[in-house]
Amino acid sequence: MIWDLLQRKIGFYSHRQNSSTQQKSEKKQEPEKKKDPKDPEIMDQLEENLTYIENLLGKSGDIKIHRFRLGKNRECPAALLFVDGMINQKVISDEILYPILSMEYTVPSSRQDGRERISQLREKVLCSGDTQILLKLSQVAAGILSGDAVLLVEECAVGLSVSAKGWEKRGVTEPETESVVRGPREGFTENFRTNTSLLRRKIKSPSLRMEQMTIGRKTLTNVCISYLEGVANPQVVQEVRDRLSRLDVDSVLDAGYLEEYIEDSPFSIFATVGYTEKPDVAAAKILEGRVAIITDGSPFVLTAPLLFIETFQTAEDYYIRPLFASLMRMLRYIAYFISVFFPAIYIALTTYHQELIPTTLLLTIASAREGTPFPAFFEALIMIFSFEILREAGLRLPRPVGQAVSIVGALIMGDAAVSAGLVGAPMVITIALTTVAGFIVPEQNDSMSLLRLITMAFAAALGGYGICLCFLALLVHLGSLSSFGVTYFNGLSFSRDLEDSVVRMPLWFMTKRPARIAKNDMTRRKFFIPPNPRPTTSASGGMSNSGTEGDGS
Amino acid sequence: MRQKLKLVFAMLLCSTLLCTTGCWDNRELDSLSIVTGVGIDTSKEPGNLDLSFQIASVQNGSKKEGGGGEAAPYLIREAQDRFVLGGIDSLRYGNSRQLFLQHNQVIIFGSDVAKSGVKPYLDSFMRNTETRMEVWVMVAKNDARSILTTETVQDKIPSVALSRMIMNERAISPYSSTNMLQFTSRLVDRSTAPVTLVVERKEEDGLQSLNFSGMAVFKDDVLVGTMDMYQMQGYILSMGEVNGGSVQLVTELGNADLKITKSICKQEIQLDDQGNITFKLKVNTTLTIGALQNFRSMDINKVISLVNEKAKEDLETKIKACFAESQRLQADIYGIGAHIHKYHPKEWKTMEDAWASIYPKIRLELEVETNLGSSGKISESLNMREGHE
Repeated sequence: MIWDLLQRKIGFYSHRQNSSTQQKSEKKQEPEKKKDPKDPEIMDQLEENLTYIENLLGKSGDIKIHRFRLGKNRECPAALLFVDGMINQKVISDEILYPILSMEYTVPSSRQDGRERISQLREKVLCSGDTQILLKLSQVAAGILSGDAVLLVEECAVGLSVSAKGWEKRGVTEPETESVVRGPREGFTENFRTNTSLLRRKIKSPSLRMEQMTIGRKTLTNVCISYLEGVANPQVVQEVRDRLSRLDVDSVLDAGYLEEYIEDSPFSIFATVGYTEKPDVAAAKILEGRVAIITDGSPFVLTAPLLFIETFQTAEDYYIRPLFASLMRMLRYIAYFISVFFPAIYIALTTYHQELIPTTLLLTIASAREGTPFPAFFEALIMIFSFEILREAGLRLPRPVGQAVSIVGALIMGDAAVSAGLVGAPMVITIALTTVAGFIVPEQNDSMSLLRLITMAFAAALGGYGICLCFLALLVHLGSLSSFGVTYFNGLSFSRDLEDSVVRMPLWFMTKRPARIAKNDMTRRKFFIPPNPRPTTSASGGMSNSGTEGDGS
Repeated sequence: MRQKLKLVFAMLLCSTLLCTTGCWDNRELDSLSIVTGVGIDTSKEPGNLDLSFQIASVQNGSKKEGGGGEAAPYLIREAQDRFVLGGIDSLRYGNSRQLFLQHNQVIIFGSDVAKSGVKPYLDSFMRNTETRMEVWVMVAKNDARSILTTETVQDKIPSVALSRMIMNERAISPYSSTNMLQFTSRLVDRSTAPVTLVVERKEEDGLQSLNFSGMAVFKDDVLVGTMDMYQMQGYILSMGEVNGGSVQLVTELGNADLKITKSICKQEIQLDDQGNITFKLKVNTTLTIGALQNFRSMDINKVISLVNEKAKEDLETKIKACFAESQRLQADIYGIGAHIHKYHPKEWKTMEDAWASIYPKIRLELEVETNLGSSGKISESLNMREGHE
């Protein structure tokens, strides 16, 4: 089976190389085919245009074509096209139709250029700030479908799209993952513009870039690459851009779709693209020089490159005081170790290395194991699987039912299984500790669940030697991973990286951006500026100036 | 092709890593009999040993409800054989579980076995990979089996209780108890005599208890005598650091109980030209007052200086008594011979064979200094107060 997988993997890589060369050749051909009969330009006759659009979109009830007449004497037929439900009716009536129909103005004579006429409308009549001249009928269709209203006028060979987007959307709420006790509570939503604006509001610097592109042949999903120009490594930005533009996919329904296509090692158990649901986290990552990818329709923003240590950092680490934050961070590393290796160590100790357990502990464990029918490994497997089943059941069900499931499950698992003598109590404790510890590092939860099973199997077959093998293999694998050209395991070496990996140094201590990620503009602040309750006279001057600039509303 | 070969080779390597090791020595906990103590006695049949293995009997913790636990938490399995290992082997038949010796806490020699020499029995414990060198070696005052079947009250398994008792003893001084490693390294030394604790089973009003009654002194591997607790205190004081223990003084004016908080000792061994050996000991002991009785109407400072003086005398007699006893037994428990071997190797060659006769002639120069420091939370005793009034 592994062989098969490997072959497929090799096939995948070779295919990827071929397809990239194909794309290059396609790009060269593009400028030649300008006049495509399949993609016609907007015609002079309004009705012809409308029939074309009607044919293109078929009989869809939500597509509205509002016909009316322009001009002093209502002599010029025109039509407004939009999708019902995707536009704001108020914008349509107040900003488009009302000015056009109420204002007394002469329609320029038909001898004038159609483009001229439209720009007259655009400049003199409409009250909208976001308009765009369209040349092709396909653009008209795309504009309608993305929530714009398109104005077509008789004998003008161009259309005018007016932004009137307004659909039902979820408000900015506190995300259910990554919740904090202290810190901002807003989270990204499914709405693309809301998400970009949330980021803009965090970073008001003019060098924040939002490069927009459309991905997905059917879904035409808006995707935005966001980074700080002059801080982010241009090579990484280019790499993200390349990988995204290389995509030729049918649909993008969530950021997860993109993640799977652009990640470095698709078969690794470790994710190499990060995600966050919180604008403050995304902003912090952008400020460290990372690239954020915002996907329309997903409240999760992808960040790249991702480091192993990054998954152990939480937003709150930076909002609470550094000593406690460092303690919590170390606790997370320990919890990760426990979650991956604890069941394996338990199995290895009780089946191979009984001499390593202190005598009294051994007697306690032995008396609990007495009479249980399964070997330690199967006992652990049973417990872990039943836990995973319970978790999955609790996750998908409606919340009240989910609670009932977890209570019944916990009672049966924890108590009944032990008192019936099916499972030893120490095993229940081990698995409980393991799984609870797994929740401390939510971003690594899936990798932990897999690793746990692997280490357990090795421990059952080879004992402590197996655990050592696993640990080494894990290190080798982690060392070989990379994310967008940055080594995944960075940050644990004895260097400046340690200030924000194992511990969290005070903010005034971390004067430089992480060296492996940011490229230029490395300095966050000039010197160590420890807080000083007695400011010197020279220091007070700079403070008042900066206060007036920001307009926090 | 080359790539593929490489891959196959790597896979082969990996598979050897996994397949050549494997689960052959996998033992589930419920297939083991965890031995916590071994007792060795002489059998009635000449040449045979009575081996008793104390096995912790484990019951499922969740099932023992309702004030049960009447059954002893251990089993004693017995075997008669010429060899220790043979005894273990003979137990393998007729036992559903494998004897697991890694967690053995104590090896107890019955006094009969100890008197006939323990070397042949220690051999198999040292040779066997399963047994640890850290196991405590002890001598029972009578037979070892009775020690292992004592109903100890708090730690229900006597061998576990014994190892804890030894740990308590070692908190005071590590010189009175010996594990197998120390015991055998002294045996290898040839001139130095091993010592171990003597354990005794006491029975009063149906209540059984274990007690250390003194220190067993071996000459080579043969038990030649025992020292009582009084002499044992002298021994540990003269060996080095002591962090506990008490000194009880009975005087005409009143009684005092002193605690030793810290005692250090400097040993010096001098060999003069005539081949006379002087063993110099400088003991410096810090004591605190644990209790004072009587000393009516005496000044506290006077009492302290008096008690201090008495304590010094007491310690001196203890150390001297111990030394005299060891000379009587001709057992070099201090390692004087080893010292001479190390620093005067030429002279040692002439002494080595006659060491047993030279040892009793060694002169002891003892210097004890006692500092009675703190008197605890109160200074004068209640009795002394009365005297003032």
